[in-house]
Amino acid sequence: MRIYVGGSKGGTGKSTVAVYLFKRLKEMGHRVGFRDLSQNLIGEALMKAMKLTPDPDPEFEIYDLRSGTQLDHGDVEILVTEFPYLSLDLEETNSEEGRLREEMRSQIGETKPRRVLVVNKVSPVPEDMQEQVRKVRELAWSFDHVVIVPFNGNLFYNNLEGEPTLDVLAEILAGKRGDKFVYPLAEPMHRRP
Amino acid sequence: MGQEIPRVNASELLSSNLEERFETVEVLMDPNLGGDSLNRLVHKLFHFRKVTLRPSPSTLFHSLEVAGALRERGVPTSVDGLPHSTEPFLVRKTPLTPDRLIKRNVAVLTGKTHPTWNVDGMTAISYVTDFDWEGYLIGRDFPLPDPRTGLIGAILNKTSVVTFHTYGEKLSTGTLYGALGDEEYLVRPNRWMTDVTVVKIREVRGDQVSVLSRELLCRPLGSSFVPLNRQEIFNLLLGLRMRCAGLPPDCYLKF
Repeated sequence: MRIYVGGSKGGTGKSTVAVYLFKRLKEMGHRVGFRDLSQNLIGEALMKAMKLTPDPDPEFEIYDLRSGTQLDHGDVEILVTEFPYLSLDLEETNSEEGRLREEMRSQIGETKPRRVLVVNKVSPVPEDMQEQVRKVRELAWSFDHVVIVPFNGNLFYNNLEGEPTLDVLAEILAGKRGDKFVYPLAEPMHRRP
Repeated sequence: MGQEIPRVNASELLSSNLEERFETVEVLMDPNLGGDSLNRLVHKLFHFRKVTLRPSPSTLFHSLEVAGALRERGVPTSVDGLPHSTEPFLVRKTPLTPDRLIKRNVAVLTGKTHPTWNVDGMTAISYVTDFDWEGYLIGRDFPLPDPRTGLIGAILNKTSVVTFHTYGEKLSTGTLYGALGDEEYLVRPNRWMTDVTVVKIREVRGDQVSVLSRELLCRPLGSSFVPLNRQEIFNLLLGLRMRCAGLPPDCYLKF
């Protein structure tokens, strides 16, 4: 399964999400590959720092794409964004043009990729969080899965553990669950003893 | 197991054996709880699969403490008809490397089940002055023997705390111990110090601080909170590598 991880802006946490998913899928016992196609090679550096190595003949191949690259032709396409770029990032997807393109793709028999939206670094302040969750639910209707990742001190320092929403996303990718919305207070299947 | 949901006063539940006949219970938090009855009530309620607490105006403190203890042990709990929820079991896999400040103020427990601070509310707290002492040490000026808020107080150099006591349909009120400056929010961490709940201060009258009841009761973790401003919340999340998961999803859908 080819998993493309992309985003329109730098600094949204795209490489962090890509490497986190790599690590988590490996921990779940899968063979996982990783290709850093970004301009800054942060993903590769993170992999190196955490002593993570891609597997040969992987079940999941994660591609950390260059910022601004059109997400296309993956089996799973993960768009990583954050406020205040959410509306802008989804403008094209939600436009009439975007809908028509999707229709055309399905008419010519192209297999539709699973589309995942990751909204990263959601504010810890309650009134902001409530507004941001509301906005995500309003705008992200066209995605198969929507993951709302709260601001997390671990991820900020590239300590890639302790983010249950991304653990749940790994479980979705592995076909263990199918949540449409993953909220910040999510509980992964493996957590509760 | 019966189908109906029994509705009982908390003080009566203590002398009953309802847990043998029912999976779900609704508890009216009456004001007759005192002494060790809070602990006994929590242990009694662990046996149920689902719990609803109904606070009276004067039993908010007990309701928050009981609900927090139940949710953190995986018992779906609702306060005042808000959605039932549990607190995700989120422990650290690798210990934090304590920086000098943390090391000076707080001892990190090693050799325990989880590599995290043990801040379970049932654990006794000691105030000590010897910084080499291997055990708990929270800020000496902190006005409350609550380890979680004390830990935050020690790290962010805060000496104020708000403890909730009075429930109202719209606003719930607590007493401020210490002083308020530019703090707009109240923060309380989970028992593993990996996640925090944040509520916004809506009203301050003297030493009485009020917040929206639904914000406070949708994700109960206990009764005591540290007042922080926006920047201090981020400092806390970064300093202790924590996250802030907000409210259970059903709460967002309901509001």
